[in-house]
Amino acid sequence: MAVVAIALPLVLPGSYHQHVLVLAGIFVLMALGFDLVLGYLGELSLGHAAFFGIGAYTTALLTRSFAVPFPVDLVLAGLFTGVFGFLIGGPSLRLKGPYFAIVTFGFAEILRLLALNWTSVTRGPMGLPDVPHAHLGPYPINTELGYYYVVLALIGLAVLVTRRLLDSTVGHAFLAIRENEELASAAGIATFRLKVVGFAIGMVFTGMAGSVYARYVHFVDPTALSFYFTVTVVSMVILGGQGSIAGTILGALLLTLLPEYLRVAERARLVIFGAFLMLAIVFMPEGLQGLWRRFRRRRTP
Amino acid sequence: MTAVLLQQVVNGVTIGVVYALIAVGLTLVFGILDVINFAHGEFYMLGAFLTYSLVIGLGLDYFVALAIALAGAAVAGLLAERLTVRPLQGRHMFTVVLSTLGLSIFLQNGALLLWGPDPREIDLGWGGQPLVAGGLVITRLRLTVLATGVALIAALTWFIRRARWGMAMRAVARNRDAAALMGIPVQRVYAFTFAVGTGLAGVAGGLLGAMFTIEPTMGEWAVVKAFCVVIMGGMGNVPGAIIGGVILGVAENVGAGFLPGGSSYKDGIGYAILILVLLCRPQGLFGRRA
Repeated sequence: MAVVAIALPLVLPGSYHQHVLVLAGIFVLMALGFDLVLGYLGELSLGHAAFFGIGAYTTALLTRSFAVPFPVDLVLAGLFTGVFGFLIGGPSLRLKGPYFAIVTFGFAEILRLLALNWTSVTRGPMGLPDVPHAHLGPYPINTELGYYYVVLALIGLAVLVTRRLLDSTVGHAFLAIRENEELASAAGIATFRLKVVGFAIGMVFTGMAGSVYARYVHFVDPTALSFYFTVTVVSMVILGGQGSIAGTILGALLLTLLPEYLRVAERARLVIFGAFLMLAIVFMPEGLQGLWRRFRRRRTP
Repeated sequence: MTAVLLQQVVNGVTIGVVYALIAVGLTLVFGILDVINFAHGEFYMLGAFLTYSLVIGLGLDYFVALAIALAGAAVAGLLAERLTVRPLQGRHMFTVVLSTLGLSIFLQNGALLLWGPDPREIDLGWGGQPLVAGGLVITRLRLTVLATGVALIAALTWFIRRARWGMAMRAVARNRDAAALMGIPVQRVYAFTFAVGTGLAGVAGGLLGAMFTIEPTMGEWAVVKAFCVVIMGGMGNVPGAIIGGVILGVAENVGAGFLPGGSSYKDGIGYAILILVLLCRPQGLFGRRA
């Protein structure tokens, strides 16, 4: 799997396909952060794009105004987004189910309005242009290939952290919370505190995705916080199969590649995309993961 | 000062009644089907475009067009329920969120393809005539919107309280299994509720569409407003949504008039109320803690 991921852009011809791969990678990273909340804590956040935006704006501001060098701004963007995860996750996670979904949506929209209207810092709808390319020591990262490997490394890190986390007692506690929160709480698990920590960790990944995105496209504007991004990530994780790293990655790849290559359909692109989402979830409500499991079950009686 | 304030309250109530119309459908569907319909705003958009086509294209009377918009959006709602909600019954809430989001993307972009992105106006000719009463000015259109909205809400309230199907809806909301055992056709109540909700959103589109411009993306705005109102009133609470709608309309209009830089943060007022209510009183302003 790792070998395929490393070799993939080398066999694909042309920079367009590599560009799509970089985008897919950024979405995978964002989706991994999201799945930590949906798949392992069992809560649906509808404010995910806001954290992506916070990461992107943090890097844009740090590099434009203070010329902060590459890995530092990435780490700072991740941490800063994580802090926001605490601040927003803290009060929101006191709510559950549809209430949590809607309060996170509200927070995200307020942050988007802030990015749109706080013009002295964000320049409002004009956005922040000329975010400089990343440099790793003396070597500039300025090609699709370079960014692809940066994103790939971060995905590797995120998968590693998620795996380690899930294997630890904290991870077992997460699963206990997801399956039955009252029971977990009765068993002495500090459910609320753990949920906030899990949420914040997920948001660190997401902020890093935003940071790399800002570097890669050189530009951040309030659309980075738009609900459309949230919808895309929610679709990726639910379609891939929540609570599964492989499913999440597969879903993110599928839903980045599909709209990109649907560009040939031009104006009907999003109509087809919407119809696809609708039908996909109706016909396989457990996602690709569930489909795979069903397939395997049929093969091994 | 008080005259300005009063004027803004009147304007706010007019918009607020339409917010209530949109939100009532969303809250009914949540209360009875346990579904958050993210495509709700698209039926508002469909209603607006239907009204536009009938009034501008065919030259029909505005009220006839509104009635057809109600029926059209209700039929579209029946189809949507059948396609995106019913197959996922008994599944996790998240799956229906995704199927309705898919429907929303489909409808919005379908409308974009059909009608293009440019804003259009439902110009009625008589809409702008001002009516003056005691220092207050209200255009004839706004008065029409207000009166139609109030009449529809009154009719709905009566229906839910007294009519046979209204009682069936309440019974299913209270306890689905018990209702089914009493011989209430639960599936049909679900479909009916969904259609009532989308139909009301459709009329709301025809009403506000005549006051502002209409465009394929207008549904996003509507669903967000409806969320704020539904949360304010308590999810599934119909009277709460009605009062919540009016409160939001008034708060936005008064806020935009008096806050510094108010109009750019006008939409933020709704979100701020939403978050405050969710954090302090998640059961809604008028709900009792379960």
